[in-house]
Amino acid sequence: MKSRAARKRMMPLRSWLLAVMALLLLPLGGCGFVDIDKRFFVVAVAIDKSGSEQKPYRITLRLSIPNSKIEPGMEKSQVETIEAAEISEGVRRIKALLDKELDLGHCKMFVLGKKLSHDDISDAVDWMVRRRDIQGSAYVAMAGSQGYDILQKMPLSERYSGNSLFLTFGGDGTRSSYIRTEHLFDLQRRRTERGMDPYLPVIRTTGNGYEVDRLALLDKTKVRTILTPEETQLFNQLDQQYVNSIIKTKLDGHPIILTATDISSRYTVSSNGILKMKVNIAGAIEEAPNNVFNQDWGELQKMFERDLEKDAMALFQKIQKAGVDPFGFGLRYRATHLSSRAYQEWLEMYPRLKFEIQAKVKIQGTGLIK
Amino acid sequence: MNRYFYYSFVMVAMLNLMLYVPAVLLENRLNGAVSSLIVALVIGTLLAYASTSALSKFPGLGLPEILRLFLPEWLVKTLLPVYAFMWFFASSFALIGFTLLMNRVLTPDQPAWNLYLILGLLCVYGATRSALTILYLLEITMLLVAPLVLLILFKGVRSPDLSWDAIYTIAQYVNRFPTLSSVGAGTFIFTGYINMAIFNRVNPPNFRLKGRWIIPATGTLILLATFFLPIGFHGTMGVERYLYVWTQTADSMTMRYGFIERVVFVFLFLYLGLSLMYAITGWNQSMEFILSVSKKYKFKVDYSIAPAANWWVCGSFFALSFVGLLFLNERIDFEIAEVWLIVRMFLEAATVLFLIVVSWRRKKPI
Repeated sequence: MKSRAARKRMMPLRSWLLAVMALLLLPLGGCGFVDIDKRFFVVAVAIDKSGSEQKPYRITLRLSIPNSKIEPGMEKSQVETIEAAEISEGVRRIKALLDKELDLGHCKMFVLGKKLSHDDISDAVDWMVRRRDIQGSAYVAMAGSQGYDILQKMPLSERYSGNSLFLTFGGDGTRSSYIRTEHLFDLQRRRTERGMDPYLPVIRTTGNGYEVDRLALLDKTKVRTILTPEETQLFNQLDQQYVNSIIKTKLDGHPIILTATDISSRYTVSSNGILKMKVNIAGAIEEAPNNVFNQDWGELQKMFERDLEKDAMALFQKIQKAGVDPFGFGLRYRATHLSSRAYQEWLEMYPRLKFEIQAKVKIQGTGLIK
Repeated sequence: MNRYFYYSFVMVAMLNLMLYVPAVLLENRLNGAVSSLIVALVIGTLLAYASTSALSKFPGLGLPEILRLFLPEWLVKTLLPVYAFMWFFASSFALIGFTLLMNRVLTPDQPAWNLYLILGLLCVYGATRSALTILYLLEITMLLVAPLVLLILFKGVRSPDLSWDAIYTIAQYVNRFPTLSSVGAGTFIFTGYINMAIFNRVNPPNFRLKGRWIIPATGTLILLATFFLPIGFHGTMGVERYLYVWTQTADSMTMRYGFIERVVFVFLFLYLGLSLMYAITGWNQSMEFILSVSKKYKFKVDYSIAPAANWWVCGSFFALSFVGLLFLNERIDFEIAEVWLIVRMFLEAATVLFLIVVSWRRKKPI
């Protein structure tokens, strides 16, 4: 303990320093804080090609209008669109159309127009990744036609603006084996990765809402081919082991459908150019002709296996022909081959790659009836 | 005292997970970063073990006192400012780096120095406190921060978005020769033991550090996470495009049922706490080194009113680093960081070597 006199001597210094500190805090008043009721929250952004030479981009923002009632169909949104020479310019010009500050921090949906996706997505994706307030975990998708149309659509069931699209891709609401979600960070990873190519789910508008059941496969910059709904589901099954999906076969002209409850798929890529994939699917029959219970299950399983192998082969050959690699076969090759030239070898090998698929299907039951 | 050592160790390791260490390592990922990780693991563990055993021979003495025991006074008087600068630079650099990052991500509308005013003044206040207060503060901060950081790391490892193929691909570059800058960066993870240079003064006479296996265990975990998690999330090639790769990695994760969906905000908040704590301990020790230049200086474990000298020294630290901030941007930062990480490694190794040698000589009289 210091004597009281010593403490008295120190007090002026301490208070002096405190006063300086307080003074230094004064310039902090002018920070860029904007109240929540003076902000417009962007819930979705669409980037299209406008077709004009001078202003090639068409930017559309869907803005949420806060509502005191949260009821299906009661939500209100404002959609603003503008043509611009650059994306960032477009967003800033839209600001001039509005009375509130734009906030992109809650935007979880980015829709790229069909024309843009077939042309070059690099600039648009670079812009999204570079912006500090755009989430790395935002969803990115391709529009069936114009991104603008997707944002214009107001689905009836929406409880708040943009909710339909978030639920579709978030896996919180619907869990469909035909939907494949793409996050922004993953898109950026696939765009830059050696041996793995990007994809985008395709959104189309329907009477009441959206239809998302196709997958566009891209090379590093543009769409090369689009998978049908069946192929998209198969892709989900083989790549992500997506359960609650179906596989089909036919018995004497009648379709038999099996709901997969357990899927495992494994593959290796060997250096002599053969990809071996093993798929195991187990599940119960959901739709079948009468008395399937007393059929020879082994025979049925063989039929499922044969059809699955055929479909998978067709899918692999389709993506191989398009020259894209959404599965990341190339990355697997690089991961399992110790060579600095592995990627070069892979590029030479991929067009001639042979596929060997071994499927195993197990029927666990026939549902509640024979 | 045991646990305070590990708080300090884990704090430094976790802080470096985000700042310059991953940037340096990831830049070298295709030429020698992986083997450097192994080398850094060995060197870091050895240095930590050696320094803790050496310091246990000098209970209650800090590095300044030990230097005085064995070296002539003029040499001590030149060495202490060097150490002071080391601690000051490391902590100010981390604080400036974090300020720039916060400024880029959270508050782009205001200049960086504006943010630094608040953070820096907080650190001035913290650093002027007594050693005991700072150790308590360290304990509270680490108990609040560490579990959540570990949760985020665990979330990252378990994420289905993590591409293990990318991680295996990069792990194959283990056969490349280690590079100096990567080893320097890797050993920085283990550098928490160095805070004992001053805090050893607080140790009781019969102090023995227990559970030293924690050093290699947590060090390895954090080192691997620092390097491989961003690769798994951003790919073998895309990972080098990001300026702040760990912020982006945290932004790639979501906590759907957490209170805050975007992990990045939780992450930044945690690292705000860590950076402040790191700067506070760093400035405080640097201050102790400067004050110890005077032979008459008497170290006190605790005091209710901070001496005026503390305020002057920490105030000038703040002023110096504030000027530094005005000249720095990310590009210069990364270049300085790479050199700094190497220089620091050698300085630290030399210090530890000195401590070992003198601790052997000390054995005989006791």
